[in-house]
Amino acid sequence: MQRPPDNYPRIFVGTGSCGLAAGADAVFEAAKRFVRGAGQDIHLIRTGCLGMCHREPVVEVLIPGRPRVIYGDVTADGVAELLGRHFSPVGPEAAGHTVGQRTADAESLPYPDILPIALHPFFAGQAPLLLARCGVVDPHSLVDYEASGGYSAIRRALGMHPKEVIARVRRSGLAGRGGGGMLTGDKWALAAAQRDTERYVIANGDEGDPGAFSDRTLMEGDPHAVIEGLMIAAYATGAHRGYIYTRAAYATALHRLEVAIAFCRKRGYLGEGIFGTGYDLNLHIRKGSGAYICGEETALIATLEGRGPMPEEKPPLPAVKGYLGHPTVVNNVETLVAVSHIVGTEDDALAALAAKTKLLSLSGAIARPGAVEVPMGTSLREVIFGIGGGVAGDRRFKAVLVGGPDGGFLPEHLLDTPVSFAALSRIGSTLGSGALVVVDDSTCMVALARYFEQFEADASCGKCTPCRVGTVRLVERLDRIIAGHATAAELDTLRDLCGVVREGSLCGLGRAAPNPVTSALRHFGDDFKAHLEGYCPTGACTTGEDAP
Amino acid sequence: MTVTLSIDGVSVRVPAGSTLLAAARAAGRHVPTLCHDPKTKPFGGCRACLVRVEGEARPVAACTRPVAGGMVVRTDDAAVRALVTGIVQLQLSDHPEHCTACAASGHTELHDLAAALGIGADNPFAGRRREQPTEDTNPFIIRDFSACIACGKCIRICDEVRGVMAINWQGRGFGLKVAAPFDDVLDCEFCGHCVDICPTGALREKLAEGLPAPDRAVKTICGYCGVGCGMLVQVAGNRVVRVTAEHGNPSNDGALCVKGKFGYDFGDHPDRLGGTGLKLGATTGERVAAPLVRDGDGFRPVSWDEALDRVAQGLLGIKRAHGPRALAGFPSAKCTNEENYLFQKLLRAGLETNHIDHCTRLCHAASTKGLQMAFGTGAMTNATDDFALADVVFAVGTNTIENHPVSALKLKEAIRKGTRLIVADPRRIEMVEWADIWLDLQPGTNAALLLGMLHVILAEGLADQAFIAARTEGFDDAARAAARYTPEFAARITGVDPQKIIDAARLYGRAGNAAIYNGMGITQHTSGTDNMLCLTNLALATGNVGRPGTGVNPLRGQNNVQGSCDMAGVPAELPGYQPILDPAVRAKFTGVWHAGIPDWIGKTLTEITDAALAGEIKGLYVLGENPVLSDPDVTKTTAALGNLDFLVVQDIFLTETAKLAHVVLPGTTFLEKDGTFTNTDRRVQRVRAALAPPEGALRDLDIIQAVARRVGLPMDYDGPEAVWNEIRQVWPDVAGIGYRRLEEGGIQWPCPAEDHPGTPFLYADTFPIGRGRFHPVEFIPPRELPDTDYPYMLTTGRWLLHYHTGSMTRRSRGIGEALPEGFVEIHPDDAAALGLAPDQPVTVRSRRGTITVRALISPRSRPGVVFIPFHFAEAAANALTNTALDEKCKIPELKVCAVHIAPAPEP
Ligand SMILES: Cc1cc2nc3c(=O)[nH]c(=O)nc-3n(C[C@H](O)[C@H](O)[C@H](O)COP(=O)(O)O)c2cc1C
Ligand code: SF4
Ligand code: SF4
Ligand code: FES
Repeated sequence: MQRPPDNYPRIFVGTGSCGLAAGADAVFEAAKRFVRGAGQDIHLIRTGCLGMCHREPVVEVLIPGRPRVIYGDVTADGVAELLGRHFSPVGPEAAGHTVGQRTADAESLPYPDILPIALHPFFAGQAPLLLARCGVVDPHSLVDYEASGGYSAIRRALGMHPKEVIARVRRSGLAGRGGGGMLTGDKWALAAAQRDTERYVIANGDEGDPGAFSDRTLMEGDPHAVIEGLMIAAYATGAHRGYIYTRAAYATALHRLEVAIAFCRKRGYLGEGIFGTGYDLNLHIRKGSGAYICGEETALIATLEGRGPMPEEKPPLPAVKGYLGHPTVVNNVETLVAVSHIVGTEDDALAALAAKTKLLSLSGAIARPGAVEVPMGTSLREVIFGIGGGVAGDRRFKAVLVGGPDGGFLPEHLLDTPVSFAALSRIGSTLGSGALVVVDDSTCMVALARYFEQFEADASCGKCTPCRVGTVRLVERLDRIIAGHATAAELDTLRDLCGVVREGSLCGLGRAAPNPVTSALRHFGDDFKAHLEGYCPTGACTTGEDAP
Repeated sequence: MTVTLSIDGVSVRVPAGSTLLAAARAAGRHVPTLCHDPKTKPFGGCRACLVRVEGEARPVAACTRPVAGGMVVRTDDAAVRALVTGIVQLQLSDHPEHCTACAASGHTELHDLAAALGIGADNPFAGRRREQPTEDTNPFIIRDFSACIACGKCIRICDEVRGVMAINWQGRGFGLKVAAPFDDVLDCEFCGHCVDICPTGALREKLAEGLPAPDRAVKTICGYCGVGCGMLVQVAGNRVVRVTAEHGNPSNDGALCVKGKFGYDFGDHPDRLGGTGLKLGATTGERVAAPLVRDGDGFRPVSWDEALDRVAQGLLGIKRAHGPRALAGFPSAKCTNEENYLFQKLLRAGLETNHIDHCTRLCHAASTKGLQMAFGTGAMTNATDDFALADVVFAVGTNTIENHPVSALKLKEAIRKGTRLIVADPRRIEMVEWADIWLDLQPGTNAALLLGMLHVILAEGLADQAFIAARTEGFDDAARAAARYTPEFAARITGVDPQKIIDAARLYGRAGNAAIYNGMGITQHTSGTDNMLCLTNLALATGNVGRPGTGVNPLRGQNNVQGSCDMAGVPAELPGYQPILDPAVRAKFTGVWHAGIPDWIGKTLTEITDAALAGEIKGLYVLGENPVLSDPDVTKTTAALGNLDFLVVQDIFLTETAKLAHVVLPGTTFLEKDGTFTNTDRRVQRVRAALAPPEGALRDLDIIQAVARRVGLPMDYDGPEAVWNEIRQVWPDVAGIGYRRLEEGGIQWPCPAEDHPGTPFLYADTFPIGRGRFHPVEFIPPRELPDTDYPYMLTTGRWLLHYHTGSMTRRSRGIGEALPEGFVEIHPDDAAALGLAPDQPVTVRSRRGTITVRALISPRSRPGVVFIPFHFAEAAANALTNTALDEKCKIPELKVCAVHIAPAPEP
């Protein structure tokens, strides 16, 4: 691809899935027409998503020598006018579609009336490191990627002994982002220590929890970073073959990863003797069917082997006995992107920083939904009310579902809990995938628990009895409560049932499956009590006399 | 490496890599399981086996967790027990409340566990159940998924043990179910293994529906083929309810095939001789439970006394008038060792004739002959267990997967673990799918192929010179004979790509342990013995004899064909392969029998037929054989038997042969008798009567003795054990095998003493003939090849569902229903050339006869070659086959003849 000179002005159109859903393609076409008629050389670029799902479609404009200006809620009809003004002497308008300007220097603002994004509430609390390229670079472009420091980490790694690479990751303290929180360095060391030298690495980009989309943001916005992380994992553990696993529904992500891999192959970054070393590595993309359970690592491996998505009991861990019975490292996409930052720097402090940020997916009844990145330790309150702008509309906050249904609901008084694996698991929740679904006070927690319990029942692979049958029994019992047919004693059976499913199930899905119910019972007992008395506290459920 | 851990306070040492379940069992602790099967990979789904491991937050499934040193495990933790109780309650909440299916199927593992946990009728977790329709479209297996607990054992057995993969999971969560592809009805090999291991009534035997619960289970050996599977026959009153596989029997360890599992009820068929259902003549409707004697064109029932008197008079009359050489007998590869022993004793010592032969001549005479010539004994050198020990298995003319389906499981398992397979077979049989190399030769060209392989082995220095020097003789002649069979030359004869011949030779020649297994694809030729000698040459040249996982191993067809040969159902030997011409041998037997033994060599099966046709042999006693269908050229056999002055047939059905008899003696099935069978691995196993014979039948051993007494040979054995003890006396190789020892399981002969363990493989140090002998061999084409009048080559064989001439399988309700009719398998190209549609009736004509069968158009056959199974009387393959004989062993060329094919005229 011929790269236009750097002194061209550029227009970036965010074409992540969220943008596309909001009409970014039409905006891109309209922008193209504008460029053609503009009478000057302007470079038009598709990027991933910068996380502002609430303002899509997002367009950014860069005039060389000046900061990039971010526009939100752009329409195909309005984009020409907006661009015309930007390139005219009048310059970008201060309000309306304008979100902010990207500048490091908040003092002397090149566009005096436009908010620097550092002061924008959505960005203020964030520390974008893993997300830094998303929405900023052309995801297909190797040049962009390398220009922003890409593929320097794998080059560095290839110059080190694999053990050193593992030691480096260990020292950073990086814990897996896929929900389990296992220390990545430990996992790699375990695989590398196996006698069996036929080893595999897998990037887990299945992302099946409802409300999670930050992995997609990474794969769409910065696919090379995922690939680079997987390269490093492979080199460190002595694997020569790796897979990137994503659900078929993530079509944009799949396409971008495929293009990125093709560029790498062409460039000699993948294949035999990568980067001119003697080390061979091939990466392949595999599409999942989209069942939530496919993201569980042993189920994922089963599907790669051509079996149905059923988890296997652990141990043995995949790092000991995984794909085709060989040691296999499965890492989450976000983990791998963190790896590329950790190994890419010599600075231990910077590495530790990369190991201590977390991507979160904000959705539900929140004012500013989107994919965000915060330092671990930020409180949930800051995330929801600061970055996320609190509850949408004029409703009040009722609960937040953390880490998908598996994490359960947290009430307002626990919002000071920091974003951290340890702190959340201490209060019986989990950071999981980092999805935060905000629930407002119009929602009945019994009904919502039932909704998510149904999700669990549908997601169950059915292999083990407690999860296969137990989740269905939970839904049935919640239905009785919602209908107002249940007695107080049935709440005890409900709790027993939760215990059997949690303690007896084979994999993480079943073990966490009762969490929507247990957390709702614990924190929103009043909603249950009301139903036992024959009414729904929010009026949302058909209860008592009206019940069918 | 071992690991020590503590289970319920008991310290146990187990091999590293064991599961907690295995360790618990080693410690004598009971851990319940529902989804565990020792033959398949651990699953971990039912969660019945949860135990507490100290230091771990949650309970652990014992069946999947590998042991670790120093683990402290409790199987009796109260909280875990409560948890398992809850799990089983969940399981029961999705299971019919008063599950009659489980009770009827005899599979009540779920209910037994519930009872053990003290679970009552009151289920706190009750809820909606899956409603799934019951499927009973096939004749064997009812699939009632409302009772299924999704343990997945059936799926794993079908895949990991049977290698069939007929079923798999479908759907997920609560809707998860076991399904055939596309959720279609089950259509598989119907081995019934899944039925045996299902822990609930979800999978049941259709044949058992509506029968009372069994009141006993009898351990015996399957009567269908040479594998010799151990089975448990569950009986209610005098009726089989179901058959299940015996576990731990080395022949089958928990597996059966469709015939053993479902083919047991032929004994109840209305056609059964001596049974109350038999009607003589469709019109009279008279029911006869008695022996029959000829009456004009038909039969009339007579008392046993009269029938036996007639037999004695008939046989003695001929002996008196024409001498003993006018008498002959066919013993039976289906009958027990004891019956065969007494039968040949009756003929030799009582009737003074050595004209004794049986269908082994048709199957493996060439194997026995070849092995005797090369090694000294006519039996498999190793055993079917050796599949696992071989690095390379060379399967020549054996469709093991269909004909020895249970032995094939060992082969499949070996292949999964890395054994390489070479298959030589003209048809694309299922074996080919498991093979590394398929040598797709033109029928009847085996010797050229094998000579080509020997050529490559010698040319490339793959021969084991040390072995050749130390243990063999005759190498140079054999090598010289092979010299001109370059791969290219062999390829021209066989039609096999020369590179494949080279590859196969290298694979076999370089293997650490290479084993040859052969079937009738190589023996039923005029060159049968030569073909066998090619195999023994290969084994001797590469030193692949006398070790585990090597040898030359004919897979014997019938259940006791090894035993009927051991018991000298052949013309030239006395029991134990002792030459009849040897005076010392005869003297030994005379000493035990107190009777003279004729000192001449009798005629073989085909020679007896010829002699009958010529009028030299006038009286014949047939024990449980059906030569009309099993021997080549039906027309000729029928004429020969029709020419006899006196024919006695002792059988369980009025077979095509029995219909020609003067006296028909109703005998017993393998389910009705005691004794021993010897399987293809030389393993002597105990057969036990599960049923009483029908009222008009007698046990074969008693019939033979009664005839013997009437012809003047005193015989009064106190049951089969007494007979066997006499066999031990005359044949040292089984001297150590007593009935008492057989209670513990089968023993492989040679076993000369009570404290001898038996012999899994032969010739470790030496051959009975001293050195192993090479034999020079030349390729000779089949006697009859296609020409313009008969343009197609016909080859014959068997089909998984049926056995031999079909007299048993075709009278079993399930099997008869599943495959009621014969067929001719024809390649699509040929079918197109002939303008045939699938299932269209065609006439197949040879120089000897014509039959009409339906066309089965299939790429399994090769162009120009058609295949017909020989199980079906109305479409008898052997109406067509050639009687041309192998000069060395007198086996007829059943595998190749020329036929003409045309669409059948409209009826
Ligand atoms: C039901 C279930 C679903 C899961 N889905 C995902 C997923 O979509 N993506 C992911 O990275 N990990 C998922 N996991 C976690 C994986 O099993 C595995 O722990 C993770 O991929 C390891 O990567 P990490 O060490 O980098 O976190 C899931 C786990 C469970 C129990
Ligand atoms: S817990 Fe659920 S998802 Fe996991 S193995 Fe069991 S049934 Fe399957
Ligand atoms: S049919 Fe029987 S063996 Fe198969 S999964 Fe169901 S319960 Fe298990
Ligand atoms: S026996 Fe262990 S889970 Fe079923």
